Amino acid sequence: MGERLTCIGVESTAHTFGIGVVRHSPFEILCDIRRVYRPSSGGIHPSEAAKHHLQNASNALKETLSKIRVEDIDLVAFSRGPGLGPCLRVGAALARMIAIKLGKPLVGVNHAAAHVEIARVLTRAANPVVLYVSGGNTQVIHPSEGRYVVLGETEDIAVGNLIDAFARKAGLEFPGGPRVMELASKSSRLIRLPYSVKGMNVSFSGMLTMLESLVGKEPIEDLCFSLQETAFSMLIEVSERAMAMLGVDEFIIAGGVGANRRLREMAGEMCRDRKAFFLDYPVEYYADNGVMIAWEGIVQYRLGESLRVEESIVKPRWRLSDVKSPPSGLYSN
Amino acid sequence: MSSLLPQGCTRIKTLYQGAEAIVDLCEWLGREVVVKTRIAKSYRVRELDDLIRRSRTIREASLLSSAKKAGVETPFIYHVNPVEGWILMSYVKGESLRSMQGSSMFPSLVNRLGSIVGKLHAAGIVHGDLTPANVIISGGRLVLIDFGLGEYSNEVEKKAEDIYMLVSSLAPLPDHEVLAKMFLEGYRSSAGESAGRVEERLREISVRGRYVEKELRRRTG
Repeated sequence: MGERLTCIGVESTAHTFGIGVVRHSPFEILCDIRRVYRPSSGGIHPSEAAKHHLQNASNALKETLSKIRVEDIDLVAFSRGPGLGPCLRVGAALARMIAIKLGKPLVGVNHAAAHVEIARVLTRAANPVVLYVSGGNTQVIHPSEGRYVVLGETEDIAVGNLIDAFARKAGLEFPGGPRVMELASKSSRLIRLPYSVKGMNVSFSGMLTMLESLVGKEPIEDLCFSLQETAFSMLIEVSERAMAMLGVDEFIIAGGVGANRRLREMAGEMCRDRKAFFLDYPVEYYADNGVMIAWEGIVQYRLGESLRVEESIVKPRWRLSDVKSPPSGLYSN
Repeated sequence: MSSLLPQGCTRIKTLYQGAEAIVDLCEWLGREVVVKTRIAKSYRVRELDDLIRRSRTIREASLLSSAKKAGVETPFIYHVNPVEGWILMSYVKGESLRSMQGSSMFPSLVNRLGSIVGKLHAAGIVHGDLTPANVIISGGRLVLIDFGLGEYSNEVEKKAEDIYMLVSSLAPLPDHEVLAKMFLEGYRSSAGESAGRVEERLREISVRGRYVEKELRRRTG
């Protein structure tokens, strides 16, 4: 397992600026600071979000250093991509600064891999199918043989994007997820929406167009209910198909949309029916955070990854399939 | 999990259990038949689940029948119940094309499959899951089964994906290049005017990075 490592991780992919500190082994979360940008209107404005991160970077770091001893830090990780360029650069700059100042190795982390790995370590999943769902991503992933196999994904927009765009049209505040969930729980009337599953891929743009056209014509509760039931059924269906194809009996969800209770409930039912295991974990770690970046920093460092500051440019379009995955169970404690 | 069978059916054995459906070999009116039942999903609200199972059952039955009209051998449908989500069809006795890999007949079978898929595509049908396991050799005839992921489409992309899946599944074989060539020869002979564009798209797909799913199939299947 190697030496004991403490890693500080900086997350700044989209709306969350986060700093987390993780120690291993055993796995231990030492610090979790988050500052979340709320757009004044509409969705995320990348430059506005970057400005928010810049304004919060120094106080978030100060708060972190009041909770841990700076001498304990062995490693500095940052979210290198995929994400919004202006936002990523803020976190990267802070991480480079810390690494230079402390003379410690710098690790550039893939944001999607960090979501998957924090879920794996918190659930102790040995061989799971992972549904990764957030504002910008929708993928069905299987970590295997040292890499991440993307079995299925959205052919157009992410499910979180569907929810946010619909919420915006309906006049609900950003992020739309919590309000949509609350309103959906008040309805049980299903409006028929496009259900688009192709093999293990999904598509949501047709559903969004239809939902937008129904705003103001149908009760908002019914629209929220129908959106959730239809979109989540599609996601659970492709996840189950992946599990059946691979003969896998563990299922985890990662990413912000996983905070939705209804989605997790459906995941539980699907697994129960096929005698598999839906492995849940504390809801705050579904959302973006610095802890997962710190943890993935340790994982990648143990796999031999680190960056020279000069080559640590951000990668806004970094695909998960280009990242090394750790052997299953290696970091289970 | 087992499914509720149509009246008068006795299960002999379960042939296949997937995420979406169970395929049972049954006895019905003194003959061997196959019953494919789409399983109700408790995670979906009842109304949505009924709708999905009903429409997919109808679509699959319709595809099986349209393919047959186009001259492609498929199982005969005896009975369909969209409400309960099952299709009762003839049992195609024989070996799968997959089990013939390595035999001296294999290349000529692949060539014949090419012309069958060409016919299917010319009729505006894509299979959606074209692997050697879904081709049965029965009394010298090649029969296509499992249209569960199929659809009516004349899109060049979908037709090329169909072929890409098959060609990829041949990739582990030592003579896969010859086999792919023989498949395409057969395909060209019957696919009509769009054959050229489909082949062109096939070359494009094979250099795209994102078809990881099929890469996996190549490794496992």
